[in-house]
Amino acid sequence: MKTAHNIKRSVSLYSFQEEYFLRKMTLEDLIAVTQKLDIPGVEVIPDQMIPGYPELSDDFVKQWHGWMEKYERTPVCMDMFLDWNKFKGRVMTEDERVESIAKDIVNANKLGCKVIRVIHDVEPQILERLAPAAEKYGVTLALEIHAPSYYDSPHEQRLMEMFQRVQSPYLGFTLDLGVFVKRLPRVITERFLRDGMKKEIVEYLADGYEKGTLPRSSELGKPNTGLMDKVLEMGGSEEDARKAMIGAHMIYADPQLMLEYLPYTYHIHAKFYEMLPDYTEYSIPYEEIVPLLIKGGYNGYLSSEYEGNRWIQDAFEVDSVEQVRRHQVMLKRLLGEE
Amino acid sequence: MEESRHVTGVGLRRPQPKERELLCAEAIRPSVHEGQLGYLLRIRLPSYRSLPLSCIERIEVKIDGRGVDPEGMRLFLGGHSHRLDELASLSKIFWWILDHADLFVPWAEPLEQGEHEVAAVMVTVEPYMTGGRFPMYYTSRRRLPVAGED
Repeated sequence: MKTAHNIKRSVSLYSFQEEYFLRKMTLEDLIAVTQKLDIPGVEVIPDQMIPGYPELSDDFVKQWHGWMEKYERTPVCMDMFLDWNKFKGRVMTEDERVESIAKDIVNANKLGCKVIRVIHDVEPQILERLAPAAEKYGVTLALEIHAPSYYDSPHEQRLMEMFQRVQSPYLGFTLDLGVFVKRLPRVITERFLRDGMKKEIVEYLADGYEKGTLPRSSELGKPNTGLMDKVLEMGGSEEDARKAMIGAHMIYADPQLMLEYLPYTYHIHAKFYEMLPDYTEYSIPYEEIVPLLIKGGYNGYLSSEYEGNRWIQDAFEVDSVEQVRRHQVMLKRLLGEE
Repeated sequence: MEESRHVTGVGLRRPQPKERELLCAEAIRPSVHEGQLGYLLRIRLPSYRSLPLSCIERIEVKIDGRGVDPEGMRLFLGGHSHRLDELASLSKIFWWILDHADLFVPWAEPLEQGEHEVAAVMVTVEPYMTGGRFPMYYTSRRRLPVAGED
């Protein structure tokens, strides 16, 4: 079935962090893999894979574009962090925050990326101050909506007010599809068991999550003390409680609400935890989500972002390349590319 | 059995792959720093992204159960040596995640040949988190041989 849409596929090289960290694959190897897997777009976290960042040497920039040409790939998105707390004893001033992101804008432009994934907590007034620089360098600042926040969360609503007032095509959102986790990833519940969490607690978390009965935290950065207390009450350790909070720090938001906000969405992290051999994702209902993205007229990249690695690395050899391959096969099918 | 399908117990507990750890597998190397006898330990930053040195809160080392004086410890990274109490001010020097560092630990009497139990803890902060200086603990324990003097 051929469906009319303009959604493109990419991969965040973050997906391959295990092989990269263990020095099994170099940055060039990863770019070569994206060609082998027929993924047109490349997304990068420069703090992870570019030595010396935030400084970008001319030699590196030349090599980067050389790789893009050699492997016929397109740079799509650069993921920035704002190191708010890097100074001991004080947080960054507003001017320092603006300056740090302004440098990222110049760097993204050098790398040929048209979008910057902006880390969640950056305030509307900072982005507004950066709109002229973003426009000058042709780089869109797309703040990442990440579970447990969604379009209707307070910070996102404050950003929407600003986006509507400023009306700049260089300001908007990145959406992380981790907001649509329908059931807890099996890689997480299995890890809890391997780490010695009681089976009753793991079942409570998995079943309670799916039924929507677990205590929740409303916004990113707020600890879910209700859930932690419950785990302790069930005889779990402090460690179990902390793990439960991190592992169950997920949401299944209303996918329909996305339609209203897709015009403000410039990039999507197609998050996944476990691709099964039948090319479906265990916990995120891509079969429901992708048709809605098409319906809503989304026209940016869907960028595979594998995050199961950290949950299985204690017991299994991580095969990120196979996981990304399966994920892209699924995306092609749902986008009607075959 | 619908309710238990999440929880299958697949996967046996295996040892954590050591390559991910703070302490690398390299032997303990005898060294002298500013006239002080000691040893070098090879370490990595077990984070998924590079960090400025100002985000290292603490490094502690024990050899055969005996603690090392942090005053005399030095972090060697990219050809420079840093006292641990200087790290807090080094917000412009980044430790890239693929780079090794060497940690000099002052140790007056020679370690016997053979393996020694080395335990290390490094505490970093995740600087992008706005809720405070959120600590990350990297603990590592290895039996490491002493390299012959060359």
